[in-house]
Formats: sequence, structure tokens, C-alpha cells
Amino acid sequence: MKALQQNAYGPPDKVTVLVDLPEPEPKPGEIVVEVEAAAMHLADLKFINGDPGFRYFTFPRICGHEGIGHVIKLGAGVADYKIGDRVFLPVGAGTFRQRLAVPADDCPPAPAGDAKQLALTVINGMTAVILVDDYAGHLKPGDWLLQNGANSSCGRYIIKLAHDKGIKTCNIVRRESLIDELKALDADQVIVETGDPDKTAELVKTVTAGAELSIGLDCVASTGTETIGRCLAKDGTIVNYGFMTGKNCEVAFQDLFRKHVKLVGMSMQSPRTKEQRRAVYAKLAAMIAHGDLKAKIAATYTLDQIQAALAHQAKTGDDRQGKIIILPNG
Amino acid sequence: MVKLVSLPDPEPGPGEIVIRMEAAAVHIADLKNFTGERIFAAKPLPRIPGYEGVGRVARLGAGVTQFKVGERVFPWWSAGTFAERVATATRGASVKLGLDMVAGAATGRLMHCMADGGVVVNYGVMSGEPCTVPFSQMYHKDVTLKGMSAMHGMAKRNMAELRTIYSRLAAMIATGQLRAAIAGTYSISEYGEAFQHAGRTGAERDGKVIFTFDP
Repeated sequence: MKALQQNAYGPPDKVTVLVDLPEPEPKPGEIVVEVEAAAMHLADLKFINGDPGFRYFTFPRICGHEGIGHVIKLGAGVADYKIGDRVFLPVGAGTFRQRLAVPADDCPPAPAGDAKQLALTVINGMTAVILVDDYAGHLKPGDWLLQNGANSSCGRYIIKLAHDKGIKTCNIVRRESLIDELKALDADQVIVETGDPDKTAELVKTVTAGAELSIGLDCVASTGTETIGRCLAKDGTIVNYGFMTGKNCEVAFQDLFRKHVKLVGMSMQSPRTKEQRRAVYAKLAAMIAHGDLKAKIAATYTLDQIQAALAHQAKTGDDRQGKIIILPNG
Repeated sequence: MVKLVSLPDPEPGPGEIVIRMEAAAVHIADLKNFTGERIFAAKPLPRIPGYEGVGRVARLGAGVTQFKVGERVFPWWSAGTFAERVATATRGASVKLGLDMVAGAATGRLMHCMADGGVVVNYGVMSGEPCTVPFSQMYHKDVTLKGMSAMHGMAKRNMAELRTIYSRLAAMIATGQLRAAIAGTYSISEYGEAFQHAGRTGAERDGKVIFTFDP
């Protein structure tokens, strides 16, 4: 059985290798899942490179943070699932492999539908829900939600989830070609990052007709964070949940001191019970299965092509064009 | 950019007092005001600089009953204290928390020390750089970087509360419980040298620069 194993931190082609592992057997309470699709994230590269804040593994480990599959073996005492049922794999299970044994209890049920799209439910989907429902939970219909990196899978989910609540989104992107694409997904306003926080803030002010923006979502970091801060009204909150630039979040003193803008980190440890989390997954999965939430898929790769997939993931913007999906069983 | 001028003596309007300045502190913010850095650039010119100081009431405007001539007062913020006499309205009177006045990478280093749910409050920008925080310090920890706005903090308190705070601080300062390092005192005519001194940092400056005014 094939799996992508990481043996140290470093360049992907030096520290990861495709290995042949024994077929997994389920212990009591476990199920064996055959992986249909596994989403690759920027974080997977950072975990392989061992970037600061991404070094907490012991080696060897199997890469891959999320995925979807179906049950092929049942351990003793498993009553919730039967052979053939579709499940989401737990976060961090090591999904870049063909089959794995996991506790049945840790696997939310998954619906029928496009596995490539559904493979993004657990991480990107939950992140979008936490941002829109928790961090921006105070917004009322008609209020504006500002975000950068709006073309990311998470950004696209955020546009739709906010729109369904009657919240208007003001979206910052890097390329003009994305404007129509995101507007077709119900984005209210899409503007192109100018590279100058003052100028971008002017554009945001214009397209939102000077609305008081109380919250902005930042997955870019560096001056992207500063720009969000510049756009916000007094006492506004920047919620940072990613750092596509690979740089530190920057917040200007003028926004902190004069406007009392706050920068908060986003925690995935949302105050939800297991049942509540499963309800969120069920809602997201239904929306994804129906095509209400739709990610842009750049390419799919098999495990044999995984080094090409990792190289593709390292590209950005027009050179990547969406999510990379691994199909471990072809 | 800055020069010493001779202005007519101020006349107190109704409700105002004229303060004869005794001492005025020079802050980094004063220098930033001169160079016009970003948020400090908004002041109409010409202006009399100086954020704070202490002095004695020299003249009373109509209707002022709470002070008499000779009493010691603090002028209100940004009264323009680098002047011998100032007319002012009579209001003159788990690691969960980190305080950052340096900004730049230092903000991130403080964030690194915070427990889950911790807050770093930034209130200064000595490094002259934006506050930078690595994503690895933000994510999973629910930490917050907040700005501290003195005006904001003051707006939350009424005048009586502010006066209580100032009396408590003044008593502590007068009895030496709170003590600032004074790097040098200059007469207002030595302003060039004083601002140059205030522009140095660390051991080169070694404390506050204070203007004194001849009695």
C-alpha cells in the first residue's frame, strides 16, 4: 500500500518518499478507510519544509491533513458504520496514502457527491464557518465583511456563507481577472490590491460607500494585514487566519493607536461540541455536494505523481489556479 | 522647522486660565510631529509644540472659581507647553498581558510569551516600524494585539476620575515613589540642543529631556 512518508524537515523532494506500507488492520473501535480524495494545503508544504511554527512532528510520518474515503473494514465493536459508508477523515490523519485505520468515532459521516470538492469540507469549510459565524457573528444583514485572499477556497466559501446570511462582502484579490469570477459567486464587491495600504483603503471606502467596517479577515499577512487595518473603522478587528506571503503580520501604529484596531488570531478550537461540529460538517457537506459551495480545482495527481503535486502546490496565483487534490487510488 | 518666536502674552477667555510654565517634557512624539511622520502629520501649522508640562496659574479668565493665581496645575494634553505662558481651558488636571512600546519584531517576541487568550497592548513605536507578529504566534492561540489609545482610555473616564488619577500620580511623583530619569534640562532658548538630545536613544539620551522656564 502506497503512502507519502516524510523523514525530516527540508525540501519536499529530499525529505519525502513514496513508501510501501503493510495493509492496515482495524483495532477494536477502528475502521479502515480507503482514501478517495485528499486535499493538499499550503500548510502541507510548510510542515514538510519545517517552517517556524510548523515543526512539531516526530519522524517518520505520513503527510496529508484531510481527506474523504469509504469504509472497507470494521474493527470489533464498530456499530455506527458499515462497509461502503463514506466518511471524512480526522484532521492530520496522514491522508496521502491509499488506506488507513482510524477510530470510527473520529470520522464524521460524508454524503455522496464529488469527492474532489468534498475533500475540502473538514479544514477549509470549517475555517470559513468559524470565521463567518463566530468571529463575524455580530454582523447583521446588510453589514459589510472585508477579506483579502478572497480567491482562496476558504475565501470563496466565506463569500457564499456570508451572502446566505445577507452579509455583503468586500473582497481584495491580486488579479483583475478574478473580479467577474468572484462576483459570479455572489461577491458584492471585488477590488484589486494596489500594494499601498492607503490606496487600497480608499478603494474599499469607495466601493462600500464609506460604510463602517467592523471586521476584516486576513490570510495574506505582511502588508496585507496592515491594509485590512487601514480599511477598518474605529475599534475594528482584524482576524488573521493565514499567511500566504510567508511573512509576519504587520499592523501600523497609526491604526492601533488612533483607531484602536485589534489583531486577533483565529483558533480552530471553536467552542463546539462533537455533535455541533458534526452538524456543521453535515451542513457544509450538503452545500458542497449540491454545488452551493464550490472550490476551484487546479489539478489532480495520483500518489505516483506526488512530487509534481508538491511542486505545483509551491506555485501561486495564475501559476497554480486553485486547489491540488490527491487521488491515492487513482 | 522649529524656531523660537516672541508671541503676545495670552489673554484668558471666559473659563480659561493663563499658566506660567515651569517645566515641559519633550517626548519622542514631539520630534515625530516635527518630521511629520504619518499619523503625526495632521497638525495645522504654524503651531506651538509641546504635549505636557506643569506650571502655575498666572491669570484667571471670567467665571473661573476653582483656581486662584499661583496654584500649580497640569495643562491639558497638547496645550503647546513649549511656551512661557499658555492659556488653557480649566479641565487641566498565565502571562495574559504584554505591553509593547517598541513595535517591529519586538511585538512578535512579546506575543510569543503570551498564554492562550493573551493580549499584547501596543502603545508606542520606538523602533519606527509597524508591529509585526508571526502567524505561528497568532494561530491556535486566540491571542490579540490591541492598540492603546490614551484619548480612548481618557474618554472612558469623567473629569472627576481623571483628576483623581492625576492627583494620585502627582502625589506619588512628588514624594518620589514614581521617578523618571531626567537626561537633561534646557531653557526654552536652548531648544535646538534640547531636541537634538531628545532625538538620541538609549545610553546616548538616558531619560527625559525637560524644558525649564525662567521664573
